[in-house]
Amino acid sequence: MIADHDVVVTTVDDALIRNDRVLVLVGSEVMLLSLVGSEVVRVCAGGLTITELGVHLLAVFGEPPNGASVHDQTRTVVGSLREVGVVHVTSATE
Amino acid sequence: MAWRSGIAFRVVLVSTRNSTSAAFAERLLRPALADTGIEAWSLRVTSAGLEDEQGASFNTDAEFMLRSLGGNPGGFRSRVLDHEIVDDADLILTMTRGERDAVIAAYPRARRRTFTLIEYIRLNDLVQPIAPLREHPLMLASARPQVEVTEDDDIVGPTELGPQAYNEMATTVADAVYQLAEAWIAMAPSRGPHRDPLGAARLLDAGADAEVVRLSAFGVAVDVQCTGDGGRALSRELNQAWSRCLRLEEEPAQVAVEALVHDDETLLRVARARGAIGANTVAHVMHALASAITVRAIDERAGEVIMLHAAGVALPDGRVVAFVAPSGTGKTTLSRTVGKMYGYVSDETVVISLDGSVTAYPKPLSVITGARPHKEQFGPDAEGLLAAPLELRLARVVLLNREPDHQGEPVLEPVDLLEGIAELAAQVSYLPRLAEPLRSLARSIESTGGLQRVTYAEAAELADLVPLLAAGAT
Repeated sequence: MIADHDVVVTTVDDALIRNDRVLVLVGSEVMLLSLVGSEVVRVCAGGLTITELGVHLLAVFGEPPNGASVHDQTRTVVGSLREVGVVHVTSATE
Repeated sequence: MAWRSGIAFRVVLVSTRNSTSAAFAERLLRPALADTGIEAWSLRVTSAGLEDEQGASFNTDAEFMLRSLGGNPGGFRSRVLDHEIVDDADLILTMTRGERDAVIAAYPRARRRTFTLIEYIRLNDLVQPIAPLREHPLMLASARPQVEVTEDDDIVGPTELGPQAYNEMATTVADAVYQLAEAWIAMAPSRGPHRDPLGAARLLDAGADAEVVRLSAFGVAVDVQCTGDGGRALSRELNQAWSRCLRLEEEPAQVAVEALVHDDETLLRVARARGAIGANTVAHVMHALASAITVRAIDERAGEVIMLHAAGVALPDGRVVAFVAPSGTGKTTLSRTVGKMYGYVSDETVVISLDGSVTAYPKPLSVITGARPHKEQFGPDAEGLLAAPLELRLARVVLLNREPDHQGEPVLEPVDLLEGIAELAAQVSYLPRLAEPLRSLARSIESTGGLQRVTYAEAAELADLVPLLAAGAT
């Protein structure tokens, strides 16, 4: 479970940025990220909390579609990126 | 996950309960690899289960069966698959499709390195990759839609089917792991630079009629020691087929390969167990050597240069067009055809320095003829391919898209850089070892005017496009 105060940090081995999209290398895999994923990778290089990241994504992309809350949507995106090794999430209690 | 040459390729075999089929496969794959000369340090095989069995070991029936097939059941304790095991694995092989899907669902980042055992063997037969072993999973994953695996291909553990099934399961696993070990000959990681060039010379007794063929594989000095009854014939064949890669300078070898052609299966087994390429026909050894030489040269140059799995042809002024495609999808046919009109650079590996210069690798063309179970080697001279100029420079990288039903002229289209590199990455050897890997690759591609994709039906149709592509006038 990802909490609002958990810190998200980008953990890619290399990144290539063109026109707001980011291509990342993680281990031996190269992945082209979505626009939202690209933004997360860009702004989380130095670490952001889920709350801070949600505020940032809201400012860049506006309200999420389908009435989802910004923080729920942020957690979902971060969870997906964590699964493929693009970000690391550190618990606020660690 | 570390990504270097000279370190082990790590395979994890997975079944629902570790102590059944996965453990069997682990304990049979290890001796099969040893029999084929793949050293234990270079390929580490372990197993794990999806369910917790509290450190179970083999039962008596399983031990008996394993021993009868040459496996060693000693010291086995089951373990449960977890994040650490998954992250540490280069390749995860499950016994059934359900287990594969369960692994991918629990560990999505492992999706492109998780296969069923039979699926992986079929994909390998289809693609026949010539690349370092650790690159195979990504290459095979992209070909996954071309191979169908059904319920009949699942290797179900014996407890699900009862004691009688031990025999069937064990036989299926033994056959599968033997095929796997055979396919991995010459592909396993090397120890890195300076592989003791004299080592091969002392492997056979001094009286053997060994002949050394000195080659240069894109700048890597390779000595092939031809031994056995068929040593002279092999040496002759190598000199012809590899004529454009013969090394004239007296520089010491960086890589030494022992190749043995002999009818005596016992002698072959002994030779293979010490790392030699051995078979009973010259053609078979020639096939394995093409892989061994290429893979070991790639290992040597990892991190120094960009190595594209591509066919390359050159204009008379040295501009090179590199056509990138997965194994088995048109590179050699293109080289065989277009190389009669433009200089033949390579049918397999186009080597690009970070300053844009290209090193030719005019190896024999490796062709699946259908007449033999392996690729046959055809020298570029015998095929009438033109020689490439000495000074070569990258002019364009093109993604090949052969569609046999494509109608009309070939279609060229620009490819978005990021999308193109995402597609291209699986066809670049040791990409992660380059300094700034993605940015280095992007700089090389952008300096030539960007990526193009060509959709075509017949390789001959591409000949007229070469000057156009090299000029960037698309």
